[in-house]
Amino acid sequence: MWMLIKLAWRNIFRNKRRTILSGLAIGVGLAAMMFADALIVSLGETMVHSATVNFSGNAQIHKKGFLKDFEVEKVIADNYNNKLLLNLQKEELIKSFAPRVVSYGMLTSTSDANNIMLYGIDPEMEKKVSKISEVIIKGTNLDTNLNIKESRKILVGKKLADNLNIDVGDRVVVTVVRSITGDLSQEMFRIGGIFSFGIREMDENIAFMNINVAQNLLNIGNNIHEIALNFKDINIAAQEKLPFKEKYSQNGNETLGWNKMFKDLATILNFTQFSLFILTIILFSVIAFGIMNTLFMSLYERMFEFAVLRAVGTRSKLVATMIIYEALILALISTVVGIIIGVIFIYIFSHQGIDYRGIEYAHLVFKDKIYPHFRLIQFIIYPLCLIIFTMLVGLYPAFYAASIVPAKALRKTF
Amino acid sequence: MKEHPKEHSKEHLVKEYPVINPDILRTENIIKTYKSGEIEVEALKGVNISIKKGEFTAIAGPSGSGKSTFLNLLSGLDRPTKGVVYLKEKPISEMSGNQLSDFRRDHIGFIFQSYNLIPVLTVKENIEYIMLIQGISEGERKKRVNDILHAVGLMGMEKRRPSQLSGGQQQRVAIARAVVSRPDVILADEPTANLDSETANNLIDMMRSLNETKGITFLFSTHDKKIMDRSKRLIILKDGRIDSDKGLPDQLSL
Repeated sequence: MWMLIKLAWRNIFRNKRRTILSGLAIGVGLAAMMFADALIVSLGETMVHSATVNFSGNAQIHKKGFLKDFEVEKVIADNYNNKLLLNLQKEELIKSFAPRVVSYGMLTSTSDANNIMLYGIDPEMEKKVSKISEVIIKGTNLDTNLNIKESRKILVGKKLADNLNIDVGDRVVVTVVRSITGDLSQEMFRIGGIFSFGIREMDENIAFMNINVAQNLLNIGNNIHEIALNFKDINIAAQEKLPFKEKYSQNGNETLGWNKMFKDLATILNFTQFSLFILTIILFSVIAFGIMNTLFMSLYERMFEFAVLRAVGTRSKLVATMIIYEALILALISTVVGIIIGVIFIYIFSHQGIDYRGIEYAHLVFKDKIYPHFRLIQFIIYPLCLIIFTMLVGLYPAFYAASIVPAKALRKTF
Repeated sequence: MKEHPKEHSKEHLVKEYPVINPDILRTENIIKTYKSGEIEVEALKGVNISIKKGEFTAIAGPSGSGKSTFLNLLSGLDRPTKGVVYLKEKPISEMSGNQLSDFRRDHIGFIFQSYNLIPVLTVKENIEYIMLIQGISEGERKKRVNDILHAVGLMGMEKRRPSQLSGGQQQRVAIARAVVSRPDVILADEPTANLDSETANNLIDMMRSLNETKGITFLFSTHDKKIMDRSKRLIILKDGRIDSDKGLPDQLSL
């Protein structure tokens, strides 16, 4: 076996230029796959981050079915005296959370009226979950620790403000349907601030007020409709069989990760993963033909030698094994080259970032650069696939070399 | 790679009890037909021959007489259309692909016109190769390589690659490679065709010496009159048939 490996090694380096060029070509293919993986995974994470960091959090707790109709009565169960919120404070997986009241409503200005999604929020707790406080472009955030009578501020999105022709300090009327009675409730508020998330749906349809004011307006006591959560590890949020989710999905409640809250996004990410898979197949195919071409070029030059090897008693299996070794050596060299190139590129772009800012994709606007990052899979799965794939591809030339009829190949001599 | 046991035990039997020298190679009415489209070409038309241990035989004949085909069949590189080739009375025509490979490895040594050394292996590794696939131990290989390098006058050149050797030196390596695995017969195809006269003479001397001192059986296909003159037996092939067979030994001394 050692002799075969030695033979294969020397054969591979018989034509150094060809081996170097082939190794580079295959290595660049591997590096491209590693980089594509790093980019697409980062792109996905950035999309999830963009979708969840602004407002939603990466998971939410609701009364089951609340997200379908936003009925005021569907308040989170088992939260008497904020029991659920107190429990959440003790959860090790949770980084931050914020309770919310949510309802359809109408916002009326002196010039127009608009349907809105009204959110009652705790401004202090929201700072740890969402970016509301960071996206106020005019006016100020909601005040905290004020009683209901003092807290008459409301925040609206820029587009909503434009549509209703309102500005900070203007008076507006909020109309909602009260719980239990179903009566309409109207109260007057002043525009305290105007925000801009840069996401059209949010800037056009959402208004924020203090949670206790909203609870009073909707007649739901201390109940809440939603708890937005941020896990310490965002990837946990999408796990289906998470004990945390089971624990907080009892008594009619449900805990949804971002993948259930943003089904379109989850679909797009799955599609992106599938695209990566297709890309991998294409790149592997290109690599495969490259390897096969190299092996066959090398093989055709040595037909006579194979015939001699067979003539002096080398079994066809040994000849095939030697070709497989040659493929393996080429794969190992290419893998090293590919990993080096891949690491360099990923390292550079993981620091420089790729500027997707301002680009809207799948209803999301990228606000940050995308920073491709390293994953273990890039250094294990792809190189391993390359090596296995190369050896599989090497089977054809190996079989070809093994099936040489020595008498025919040697006919020039004998 | 397992060591292939060889039938060396027969040698001492022969020494103790002189017997008629048995055939190493024997052909029985072999016919070889090639097809070229619709046309069939009969390269060999019923050749009967027997080669005994210790022979130094040349097969000569004009181009197209069937020399190459004959050597291919004797070495198991090709199969006859009809007839049988026997090695030590075993019909090699019936062997499987792997059996034929093993048969060539253990019983046939090859010397090619163009030397056909493996260019990426050194002199030592080229000589060692067949012993490696025979599964011979490292110590034994080393001893045999040293002996044969000495015998063919290539001591000190064992680390050179074939490209660093002259044609004559390469052919010496080829002879060493053929001899070192101790085959029953060495088939040599025009071994001196690519060499100058002096080098060719030296090589013939060397092979003759190996034949006489070690009892190695040589069978040449050749156009070289020097080989024909120095051979113990000369077979002339013509149009696929044996035209003449001079010096046929009844019993060659061992």
